[in-house]
Amino acid sequence: MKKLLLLVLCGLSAVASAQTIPWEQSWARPVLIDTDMKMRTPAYHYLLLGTAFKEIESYIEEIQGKPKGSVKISADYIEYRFGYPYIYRNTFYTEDPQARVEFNDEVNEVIEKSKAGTLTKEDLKGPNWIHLVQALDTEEANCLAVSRKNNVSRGCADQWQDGGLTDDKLVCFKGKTYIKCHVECMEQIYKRKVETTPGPCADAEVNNEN
Amino acid sequence: MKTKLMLLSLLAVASYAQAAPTVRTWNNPECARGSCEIKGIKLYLDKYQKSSMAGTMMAAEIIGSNKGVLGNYAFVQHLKGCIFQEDSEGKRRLAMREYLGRSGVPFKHTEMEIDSASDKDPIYWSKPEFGYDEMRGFYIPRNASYMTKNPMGDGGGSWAGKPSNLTTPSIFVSDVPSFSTFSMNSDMSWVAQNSSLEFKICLHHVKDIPEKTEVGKLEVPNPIVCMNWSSNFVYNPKKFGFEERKEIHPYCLN
Repeated sequence: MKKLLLLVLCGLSAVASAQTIPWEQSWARPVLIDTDMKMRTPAYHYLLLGTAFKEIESYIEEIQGKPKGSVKISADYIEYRFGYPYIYRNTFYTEDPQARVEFNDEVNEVIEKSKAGTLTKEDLKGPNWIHLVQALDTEEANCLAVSRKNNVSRGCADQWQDGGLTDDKLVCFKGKTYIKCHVECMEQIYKRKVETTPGPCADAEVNNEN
Repeated sequence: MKTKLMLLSLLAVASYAQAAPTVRTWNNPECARGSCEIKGIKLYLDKYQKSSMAGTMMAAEIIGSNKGVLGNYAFVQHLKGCIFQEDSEGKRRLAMREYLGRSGVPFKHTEMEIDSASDKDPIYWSKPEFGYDEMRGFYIPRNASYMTKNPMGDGGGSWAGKPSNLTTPSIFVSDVPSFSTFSMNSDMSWVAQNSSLEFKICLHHVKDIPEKTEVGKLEVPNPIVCMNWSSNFVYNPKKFGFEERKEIHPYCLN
């Protein structure tokens, strides 16, 4: 019975998995929470990204030794670099940037709390709310973003490429889901083992049931 | 008309006044009396004045007796005055700003108020995500965004609360208030943006600074030392240039 309940709850929470970015057809609406716990859902169209983003793409291509024109920056990565601490695992897409986005229950619940001013970090648990590690200094930025040392490219760069934030790119740390590469940066820089479990955190409701 | 144009052109290429940066120093008298955690502070001011642009840039330095104490001290900056636009027809309009996390606020402070744009922490250049970081395994101080080197010199990254990031026991902040600007159209109409601002920057022990304020007119207790500075240039159409004012423009105080 518990197993059945687990399966039903997983379906209801609509656990996000691999996501291919429709680069040219749609407007991306990443769901972000800022440091004041306010929700933002900016609209991006990949064909309309400015030259600044093209420069970042060229920089990453050069650092990583990839062919010119092969890298495209995801809207999620752009927002991560702007400093947002939390992002919903999958981005919503619309054909019309003016259209109202049909978010799911999980996002709507957080929207309501954000509007009420009652949203806290503890509400952002489970597999779909990603806690982003922002660089404190240059040493961290070199690992979390992209850089080159001793002729070798390094850095986590855009983790939303290549099928999005799949389970193998995520880890669970103290009930919150993080990008595995970010955590590895922290372990490397601070020379300590961070106790994580592989994959995203279990659904918060499942945790409560068990 | 031709004479006026020639005169304006001459003024445009006239030499501009750009003073060398000045440095004001405060040495902590406690150090002479015995031990002290803070040796002093320095304020670096660089005025810039051309026919089309004028303003003052600031950098401030906290000098510790050792690197380990720097996480305990931070600046709180207050400001007074306004930024306003004026045109050749004499119309004036206040600029807008973000203030204490609220956007669309008129840029006008008739009294000294906390200078904080995007958040409610009175600390100047505060770090929102401060506290013990379980992943990193150390305490991120509220001044972790302060810089390792003088922004007016080589610059540097954030010190992040890590003494290993510092070559000397100093951390820095800077401020470049919106410059006063002037532009003229082909029909000789003009628009000037005037920044008439005074600042007071105070050094505090972090424990004396509340983590949040809803109130701009906050008196943070026990300032160790304060220094005043200003960026106060208003366009004078009769003189075809900016004048540095000693007092806030009356439009900012009404």
